[in-house]
Amino acid sequence: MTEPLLLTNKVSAQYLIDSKKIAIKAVDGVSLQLFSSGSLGLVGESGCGKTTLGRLIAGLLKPSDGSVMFRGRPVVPGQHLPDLQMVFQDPYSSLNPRISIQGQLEEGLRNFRLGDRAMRLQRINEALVSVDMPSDCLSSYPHQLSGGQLQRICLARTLVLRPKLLVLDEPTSALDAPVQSQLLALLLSLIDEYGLSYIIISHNLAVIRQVCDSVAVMYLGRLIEVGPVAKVFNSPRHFYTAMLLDSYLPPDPLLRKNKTSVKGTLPNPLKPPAGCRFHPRCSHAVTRCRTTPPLLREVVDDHFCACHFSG
Amino acid sequence: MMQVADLKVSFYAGRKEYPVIRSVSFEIRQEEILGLVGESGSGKSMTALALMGLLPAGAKAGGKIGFGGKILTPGNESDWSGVRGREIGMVFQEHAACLNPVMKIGRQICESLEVNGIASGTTAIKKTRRLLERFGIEPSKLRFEQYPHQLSGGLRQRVMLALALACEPRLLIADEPTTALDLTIQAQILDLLYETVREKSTSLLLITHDLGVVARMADRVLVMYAGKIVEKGSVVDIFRAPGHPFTKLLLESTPRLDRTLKKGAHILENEQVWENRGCFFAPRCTKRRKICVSTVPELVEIHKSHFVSCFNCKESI
Amino acid sequence: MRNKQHKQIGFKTVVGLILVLALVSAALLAPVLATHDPHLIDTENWLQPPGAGHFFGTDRLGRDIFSRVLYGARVSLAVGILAVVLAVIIGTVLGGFAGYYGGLADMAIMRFTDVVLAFPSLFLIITLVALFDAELWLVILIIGLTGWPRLARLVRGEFMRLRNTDFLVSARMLGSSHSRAMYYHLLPNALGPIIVSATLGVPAAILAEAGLGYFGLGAQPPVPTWGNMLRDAQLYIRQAWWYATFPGLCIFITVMAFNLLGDGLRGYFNPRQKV
Repeated sequence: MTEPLLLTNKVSAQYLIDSKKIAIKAVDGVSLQLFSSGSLGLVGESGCGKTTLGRLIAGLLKPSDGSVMFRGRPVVPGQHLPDLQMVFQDPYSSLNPRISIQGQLEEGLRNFRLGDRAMRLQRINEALVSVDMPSDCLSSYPHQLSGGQLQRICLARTLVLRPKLLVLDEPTSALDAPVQSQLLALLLSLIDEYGLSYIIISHNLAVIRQVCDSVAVMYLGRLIEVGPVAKVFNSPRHFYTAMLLDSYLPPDPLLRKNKTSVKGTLPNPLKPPAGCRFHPRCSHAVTRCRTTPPLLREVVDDHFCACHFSG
Repeated sequence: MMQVADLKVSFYAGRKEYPVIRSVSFEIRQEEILGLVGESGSGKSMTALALMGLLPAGAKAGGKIGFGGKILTPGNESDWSGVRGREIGMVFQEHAACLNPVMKIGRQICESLEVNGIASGTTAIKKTRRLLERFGIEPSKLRFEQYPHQLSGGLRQRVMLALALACEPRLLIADEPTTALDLTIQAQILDLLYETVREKSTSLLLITHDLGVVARMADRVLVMYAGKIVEKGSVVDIFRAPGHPFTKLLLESTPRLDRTLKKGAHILENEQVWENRGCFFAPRCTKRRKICVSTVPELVEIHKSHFVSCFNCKESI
Repeated sequence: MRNKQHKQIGFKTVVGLILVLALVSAALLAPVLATHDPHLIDTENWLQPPGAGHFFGTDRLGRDIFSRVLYGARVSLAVGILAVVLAVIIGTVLGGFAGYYGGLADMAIMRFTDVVLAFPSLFLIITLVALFDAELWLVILIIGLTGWPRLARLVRGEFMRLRNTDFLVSARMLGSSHSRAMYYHLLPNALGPIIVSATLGVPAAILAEAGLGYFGLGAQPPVPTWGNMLRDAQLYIRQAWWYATFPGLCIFITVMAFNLLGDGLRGYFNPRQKV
């Protein structure tokens, strides 16, 4: 049995507010694993903790509890490796406006002291080809390129480091549809080309469907369903996942739904409901749901759900 | 109900002209929901602003808007007094553009009712309470006294809707009203919007880049590209039988739950180019011919009530 | 169409720049441009009004005011610019560290800044200079050491703002050390406010120096400074209007020139967003 590339063990992240009197657990005891060449999507709505989890994995945040293991070793916040890289949501603010594209691409290689001049140049050129950018963009500056081009550069500057795992935080949210799909197709091709694994954080279910093998659904900091993307989206086991899928609007007027099944709104994160955090909005809630938080259990092969009614 | 004729909007930096809307003509019918889609930079938000008489300073506008028996000239702010707020309501994506951050919610709605001569004093307060309840802004007593920043994004959007529809306008213009919201909240808001608009027989111009939203809500759709309308038709026609290559591109490149991306559908030849003598989409079009680069295509009816501006399209029917 | 920020160099900036360059050149070329030796005493020609031989007239010892003003420019500009350079270095380093690291370092540095800021700088300068026997380099040092807090606050603010931008987080993920993050990534992006603040700090330093000279502190006669020339001229204001006017006018023009330039640069670095 091969070791997972990434393993989080009941990892939590806590924020203290109101002069340290109140703690909000943005991520609460999440255990996940990802194997080589895997692609995982993290979905959920505001306050679910997916962005925070992404930052925990990338080593940008210190866990208040639990651990994150990458390639068998703990991730140390603040100490970064070429193996684990990240792409952010807004391409316009992810690049230092005063550095040329060449400088952007060289940055990682230079900081991690990888290779000599010749090798670096070669990697840069290979990366540009992989992301479909012409080599004459090297002398340009960020303000001269479009959003889609900039996002591809952001990808390229991680590719030169030959990362094993890439965390992408809403990589397509700031882009128009045609450019989005170009980027997604690119991502798919990189799995084979670079032996890449990635985790994509997105609120867009369709994007996850396109480029991920598996998906993890989060609600108020907890993992409530994980499994192969086709199974989870076609036959969701958790009522929240079903609600989420019901809210998805297909670009097809003949599939129009007249009324959504969504009930209620997100509770105050300062006072999360006891037991199953979703119970106030769940039409199937029973006493047990109000008192005991359900554990994440395997329902079918590789398909896990945290609900008293499943499995 | 509203006729827009030859609307043009440009900005000038020194001598150079930057056209944002090149020439747009369409109508909004009674009780219909009209969707306006396009990429960022296509001019759709500017169109909304033009129809509300809220063009930014420095904009030069042309064309005419016929509404309720009056002719409104874009750029001429005074034409809109009495119309904006009362007969045309508006909702934006950015709550800061609609809601006064230092005024209580209840008071803002009351003020709108008073200014537009609908109700005043205690009647206004009662009406406002009822509006808050109708739009799910509860508990209404509490919310009445709250400020915008005390509400969540979804609630704020409901307040904006309530504010816009308080005076029962004949037309509501909504520019990306749910773009920044969570999926489940979006679903609830769109349901509310749909119901309210149908119930009060209000027309709705819904501007968005999200094809799912358009498919859910609209009766008819306008597709904009580079400041022009390139396709016009019923929602079913646009989605099931798109004519313009750009519409096709949009549909094919929108990720879906039930289909995997078509390989090759998203290869972009050139990024957007803004100066052109012919069709503005030509640089990105896989089917472009000589005529596409030299002449600007006009909107032609290829099918009943379905208009497309493309030289390739005429012949394929 | 993305909002393109148009950076326009305004008329103000150009005028300011020309004036500043003219002043600096005049000061540098003082030996060439001076018509007389500024120390040359000619008691027979004392208090002569401006005329053909003496463009700005002569002072109470018959020395040519024009030449003295030129040499005085050297002192004023040297003090102004060097003091500001010192303040910029200290302010940028301290403010940068405070803004970047936050937490304890930030608190400590900011409290220290508050302390320095609390001192009424002019009085402090006067006291220190009187205590330690006025020498030019001491004046520069003292003005610099009291002038950095404002800039430190500014730099701290900029670094705090930039600290959380995606491009900095990316730089860290790409292996940037903290020092590289500060000087290679953040500093160039914070240069704008620093340059503006520095440019506007020069007239303050010049005025401080002139003030010192006026009180008889700072560089002592026979070294001509605009400040001590004004001090000399006090007694003769009624009889010899030119004695005080020209040094005063020079101070005025210099201060105005740097203020114009600084103001203009501020506009250049914070362009209004146009379509």
